[in-house]
Amino acid sequence: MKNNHKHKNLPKPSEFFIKKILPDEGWDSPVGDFEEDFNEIVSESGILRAWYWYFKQILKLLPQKVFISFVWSIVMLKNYLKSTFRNIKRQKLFSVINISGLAIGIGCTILIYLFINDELSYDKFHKKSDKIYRLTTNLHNPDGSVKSRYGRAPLPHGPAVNEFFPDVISCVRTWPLGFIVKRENVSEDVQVYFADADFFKMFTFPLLKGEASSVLSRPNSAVLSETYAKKFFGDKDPVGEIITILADQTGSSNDFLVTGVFEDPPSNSTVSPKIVTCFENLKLFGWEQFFTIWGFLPSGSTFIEVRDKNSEKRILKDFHLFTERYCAAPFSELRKSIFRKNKSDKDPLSFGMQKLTDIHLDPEASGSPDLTTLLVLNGIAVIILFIACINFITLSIGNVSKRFMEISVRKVFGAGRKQLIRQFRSEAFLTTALTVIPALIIVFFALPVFNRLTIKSLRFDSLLSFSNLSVLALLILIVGTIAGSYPAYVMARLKPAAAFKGKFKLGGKNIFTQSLVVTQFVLSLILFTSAIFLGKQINFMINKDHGFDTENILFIDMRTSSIEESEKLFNFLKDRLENQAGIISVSGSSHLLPRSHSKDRIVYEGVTFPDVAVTVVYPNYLNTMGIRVAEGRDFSPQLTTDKKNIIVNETLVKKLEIREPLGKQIKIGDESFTIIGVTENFNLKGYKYHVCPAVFQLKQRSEVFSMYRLKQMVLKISPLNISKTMELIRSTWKEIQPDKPFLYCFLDENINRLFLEEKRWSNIVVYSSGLAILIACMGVFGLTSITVSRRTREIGIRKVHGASIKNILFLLSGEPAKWVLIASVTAMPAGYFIVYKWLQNFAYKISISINIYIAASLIMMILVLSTTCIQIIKAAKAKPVDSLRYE
Amino acid sequence: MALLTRSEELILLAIWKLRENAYCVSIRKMLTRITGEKWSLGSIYMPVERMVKNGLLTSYMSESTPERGGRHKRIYKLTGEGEKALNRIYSIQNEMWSGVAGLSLENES
Repeated sequence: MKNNHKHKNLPKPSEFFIKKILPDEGWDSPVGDFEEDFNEIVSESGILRAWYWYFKQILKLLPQKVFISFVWSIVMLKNYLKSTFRNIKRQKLFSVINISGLAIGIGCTILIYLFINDELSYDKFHKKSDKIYRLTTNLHNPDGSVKSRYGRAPLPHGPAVNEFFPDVISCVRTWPLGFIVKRENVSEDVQVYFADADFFKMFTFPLLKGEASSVLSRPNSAVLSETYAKKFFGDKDPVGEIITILADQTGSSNDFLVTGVFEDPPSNSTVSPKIVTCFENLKLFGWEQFFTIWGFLPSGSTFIEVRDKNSEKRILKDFHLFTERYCAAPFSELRKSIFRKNKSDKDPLSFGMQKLTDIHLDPEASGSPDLTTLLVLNGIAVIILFIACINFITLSIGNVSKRFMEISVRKVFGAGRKQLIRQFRSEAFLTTALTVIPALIIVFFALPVFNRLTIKSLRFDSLLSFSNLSVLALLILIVGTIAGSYPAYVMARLKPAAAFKGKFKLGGKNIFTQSLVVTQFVLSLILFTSAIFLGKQINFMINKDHGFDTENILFIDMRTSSIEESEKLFNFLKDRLENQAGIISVSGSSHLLPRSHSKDRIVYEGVTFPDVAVTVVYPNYLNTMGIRVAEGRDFSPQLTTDKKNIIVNETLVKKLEIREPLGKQIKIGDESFTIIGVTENFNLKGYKYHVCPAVFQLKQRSEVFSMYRLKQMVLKISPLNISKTMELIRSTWKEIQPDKPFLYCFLDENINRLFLEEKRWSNIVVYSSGLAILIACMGVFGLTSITVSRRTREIGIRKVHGASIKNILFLLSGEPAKWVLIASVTAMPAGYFIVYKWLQNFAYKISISINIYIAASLIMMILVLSTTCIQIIKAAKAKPVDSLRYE
Repeated sequence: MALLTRSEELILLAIWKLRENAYCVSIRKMLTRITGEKWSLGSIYMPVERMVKNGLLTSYMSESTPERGGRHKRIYKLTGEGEKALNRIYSIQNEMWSGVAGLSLENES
């Protein structure tokens, strides 16, 4: 070198890179040449120039390198493929166990992936989904802390927000309410969505007929979903036709002009309207008073559309200004009614907003699984997949002896450790990729069952999208890595010389393999016991004494008529039905037990108690429902003074600490009532929740709130000839009210519906634990057959020396028995913890008994031993001559 | 045996002239200096490797030197075959060039 410029080595990473690119040997001198050039460029035109040159050189080299390695990997892959297929064919049993186990595992994972994908896809189909927010409301305690959160907002709130914030483009209030909708002779009990005019502009529900901007512009217009348009109009064009909505509350009916038809909302939509009409129409049904009240939360949500991503931040920043301007007056009103006696200057309400796409997985949204549920489901899928992977690992390792020659020959011919590892890895990948086909077949056939279990409508073809297929590819990669890495490592470590000499020992006393098998059992046992407890808890809740009769109680919907009419109808029907054969007693109520509850307030000795369920009933109600009276008496139909009396339940007595409750006064609203009876406890909402304090009161002369109007007739019917009795009731109804629909339900159906969610859960866990155990047992089966085949000679010698089949059985089944024993001891605390955590969700729970763990372990033991014994007996029965002859 | 190509001929001559210092970088430098054209390392490596394969050249590793950062050099040396091939191309060229002296004069004027 001419100048004093110091020689520079290329940096280490690039040296590594060049080594990778160049052939294996003799890279030293070319690198030296390369470096010399590099240094010359550095001294001539600076380091930057040199680097530029350096990277250009490498880039030029790359395509060739990639091409060459690609060609070679294909050549080798062909070979690996061949040896994989040969092995699958040669060892049918292991291949079947491996492939079917992995296929079940992958199938489960795909199903659960579809489920979770669906849950996460909620509301994303709306074109403006990232700009739509729901307005939320927090109710505060007098000390300013948040008492409860609601995904709803007072009716004046939405328009005010729309007016105040420039970032809010539009506001749509919605309020779904149940009505009877009629057209000619078709009538349906359906939820009608009252919504502001921009509804179809904000949400993406494509209109088949009509324009998004104008369908809701006229006050009496109604838009039907495709299904309901078919229901009411058949194939006729519904636009321009009239439908009638019968008001539940007042009994009045209003006609609406159909202005459009929209595509049925997809199943993954939180807002899923069937009939949409203008929000203002609520006034027709007597809800006008609520339009200006800040202290009333409707059961529908208010949605706003914002300008862009940063709007939320800007809006939340200015929210206090909004509250100051709009809410000062209403809040001072509300303080009186919400905080009551507590003097507090804190705001009774505060407002917020929530993304449309976040609503579905919000735990406060009812009826949908929350994130924890999804995580648990995910966990179950991972466990099943993991158990299948363990099978693959243990069986491959146990099976090394059969592949011995192949590995040795490869080694002798110059295969390096890395190459062997690569071979066994790619074998695992290939096997996993192969399992995808049976896995997809499993998914295809299991999907209808899965849909029924989870109440979803997942579709198989949705799996074939690019993103889902790439997830599937990723799954194969992960499973292949987990299943293939350790066996590959073990096999590559083998010494060929030892292999040829036949000095080989592996598998039997391998701690790693054993602990994997034990892990398998632990996982399946945990799933298994959890499934048992789930089922027990649900049965417990369904079968526990509800405090009222659940069998043969019939409800008939009386909301088809107005308040006055329904009274008349009730009395008329009652007279007609009461003394008929098959009908034991008749009554009526304002709320459907046990589902409904109301958050009413009562005052006892000057103290207010909120959250009491007040139910307006007709005489004979307790008797009809089978609610037992503990003290005092039931309402009497003869005594008119009973209108001033009430009956309470034991929980209320306990909560209010009333001593000798009979004759005590309780205030509901402004009126005082006397307690004449105390009922035993009955559960209103199912045993997931604590018993709610309840009050029964007789029908007053005029009901201010339609909430306490007569909503259903309750009949206790005899269990004999139910269909005949039903026919009688139906014909009587038709005779009196030929134009009103006869809507009814049985109480036990209602109770079963309460536990639907839990049942769904237990179903999933039961099925998955069954699968887990099945896969684990298949693994044990495979492992035993390996052990047995390895010990054929030993068995032969033992037999020659006089061992009986029983002796051999004990000898060989000892090991799997030990595994199950260790697993059950480990699984117990872990399973206990999980079940304990889950049971915390329930107010009334079963005790966790150790017996179930023991029983589950025993079942596991029996299953495992029977799978192993089948093979051991087969081997033990063989003539020792045959097994010893090959020597 | 096939005739040498022009680049092979030049490289062989350079190796012969460079003697103990005939490795790729020095060969390239020499050729670049004399021809005035840019020679990439690749354009040296390829013919050199080919000629090694054909037996015109052999190579050995030199001791590592500090100015190369401790890397070895691969030094090339002509074999008898190589010398023969050079001689052959020299005699062919001489014969071809004889009697065309006028050509170069005309070109120069």
